[in-house]
Parts: sequence; structure tokens; C-alpha cells
Amino acid sequence: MKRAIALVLAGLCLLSAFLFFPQAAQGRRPDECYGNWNSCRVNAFNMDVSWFRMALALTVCDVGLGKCIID
Amino acid sequence: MLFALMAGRGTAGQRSVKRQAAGDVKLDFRTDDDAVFSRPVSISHDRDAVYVVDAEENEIRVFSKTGAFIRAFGRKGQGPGEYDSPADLDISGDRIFVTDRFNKRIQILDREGGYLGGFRVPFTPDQICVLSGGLIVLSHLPLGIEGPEPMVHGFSEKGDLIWERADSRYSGERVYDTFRNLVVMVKGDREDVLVIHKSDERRVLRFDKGGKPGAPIRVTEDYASKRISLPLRGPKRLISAFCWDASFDGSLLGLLAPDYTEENDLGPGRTVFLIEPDGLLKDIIDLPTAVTRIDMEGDDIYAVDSENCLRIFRRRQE
Repeated sequence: MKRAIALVLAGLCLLSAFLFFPQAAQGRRPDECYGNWNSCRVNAFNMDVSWFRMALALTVCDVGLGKCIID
Repeated sequence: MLFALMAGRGTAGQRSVKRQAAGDVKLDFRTDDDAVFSRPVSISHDRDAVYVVDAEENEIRVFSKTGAFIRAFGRKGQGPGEYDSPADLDISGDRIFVTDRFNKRIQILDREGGYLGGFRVPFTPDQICVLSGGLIVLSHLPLGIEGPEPMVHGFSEKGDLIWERADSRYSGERVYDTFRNLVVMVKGDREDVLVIHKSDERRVLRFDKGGKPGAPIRVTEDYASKRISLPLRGPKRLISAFCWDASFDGSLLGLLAPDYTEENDLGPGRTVFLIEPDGLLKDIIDLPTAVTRIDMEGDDIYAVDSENCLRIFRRRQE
């Protein structure tokens, strides 16, 4: 019984994830997300900060891109 | 004028290498608001003047070669003579060609900044070199989403794409790829462009007007790359930093070397290495301060320092 419940829950999770991501991507227009991400990273390297800081800034841009696509 | 000159000699390969110090030609830039920028991204010169592109102010400021402010033009917008993060300019004859990054276009101006024309491009243009015959070579930083893509593009003045070269590196890790695809593009002396990767590549690529690759410049190991481990997601990756900026004058390529900071990070440097066409080291120039952008003309180096201030340095031959 416990195994069956676990399987059902896992299935629901996978199904919800499967349904969620395509809808979210369509809802937020990935083109806009990539446009914002490109602006973000251009600003990051235009700042002429040291490379470690630039890597952090670019990572923030990248996390923002992922969030934008998922939201 | 203040000159500081220290000359030393060393050897690289079989040639003698001069080490020189350059001094400020003019010292009072810091008190001149016109010579302090918000986000300077490019410095260039022509026969009369020095041009600095400020991406944040969306303007181009023009100075005499002794550093006197002449004029500024440009503002934020989408119309003629307006910009959204201009990235670079080149001068050809009496015309100025500007990459208008987020408006995805090239604007052609007269020397006073008056709009003459332009064309749109299908990417966010970065650097620009205008070769004879009206061939406009553009670089752009690839998105790196779906795989390698060309980073250098040759256009006619009418905006027709003629050729594309220099495929980007692609690993799927966007931050890592962004570093490895940062390039500096400068005009060479053979009606060609030189493409210098800022990291992980010691060969300087050359493309002529027709997009034909020339023999790359293999830069001597006497000019050392600097390694840094960056905080990237996934496996730890070392990057070999090659240059912060570059300039070409006469037949010499000037590479601005990055310097290690106290935190073992890499920041803008204060040493310019002059590389001969065969890749060997010719001279080393020590600047009095760290700079982020350089543009060489004979013994003068026009630069922007790490506090976003215009500087003009001069070196002396022995």
C-alpha cells in the first residue's frame, strides 16, 4: 500500500513538472527572458570589474534567466 | 608634461626586448568632468581626435590629442543619433561608424555627430572595424544557447551580410562560454581584422576583407597568460586570461595584460606588451596606473583608467 502511494505521488510530481514547464515558458515569452539575460550579461562585462566578480555577476544573470523561463 | 622613463633590456626568443615606462601627457583629467565617464567601453582615434564611447550615457565624447574636450554627441533613444548602449566606433574617411548595441543597428555619422545613415543587424553588435571599399566588420558576443555560432560578420554599407566567421566555443555552460567568447577586434595593417580572444586562446585570428582567414599570429610564451579558477556552476574550471584589451598600431599588436589583485582575482593591468607580426615580443610598456581600454598611436597611448577617467600616456624610444 505504501509503495503504491509513493508511486502515485512520484507520478503526480513528474506529471505536474511536465505540465508546468512548457506552460510557464509559453507564458513568459522566452525571447524576452533571453533578451533580458543578454542585457544583464552585457552590463556585467561592460562594468570592467575583475573576472571573479564578473563571473558572479554573470551567474546572477544566468540564475535570472532560469527563473524567468520557469516563472 | 611629465615623463617617467625607465628603460631596461631583456631577451625574448633571440631578440632584445625593451622595457619602458610611459608617463602622463596631461595630469588634470580627474578635475575635468568631461574626461570622467560613466561606463567607457571603447576608445579610438583618427588623425585629429580621440573618441570615447560611453555606454551608460549613450554618448560619444571627442577630445583633442592633447586631451582638450571638443564635443559630445548622442543620447538614449531609438531615433537617428540616439543609442541604446553604444559599444564601439570606427572612423573611415570623414565618417564615424557606431555600433548601437541594443537597438541592433549600425549608425553612420559625420565628424560632428550628424546622422548620415545606417542599417540594422540581426544580433547585438559589439565591436566594429571599417575596411576599405566600405566593408564593415562587426563582432558580437554569441548567445550560446543552441551551439556554436559565428562571432565575426562582414557587411556592406547597405547592410547586406557578406560573410561570417569565427565560430564561438560552446560547452553548454553559459557563464564559462561567455568568458571564452569575449573577444577584442582591431583593424590590422593588411586591410584585415585581428580577432583576439580574451582567454583560453593564444592565437590571434586574422580575416581579410573577403572573410578569408589569414595566418594567425601565434603569440610567444614570453607573454604569459594568467590562470584563474572562476566560481562557475558545475565542475571547477580554470581559465587562462590572455588580455584585457588590445590595440594595433603600425605593425605591432599591443596586448593589455590583466593583473592579479590582492584577492588573487584578475583585474585590469598596467602593462602593455607589444607583439610583432611573427608573434614575438618586441617591447613592454609600463603604465603608471591600471587601465581598462587602450588605443595606441606611435609613442602615445590613449587610455581609460580603472576609475573611468581619460588618460594620455607617452613613451620614449631609447
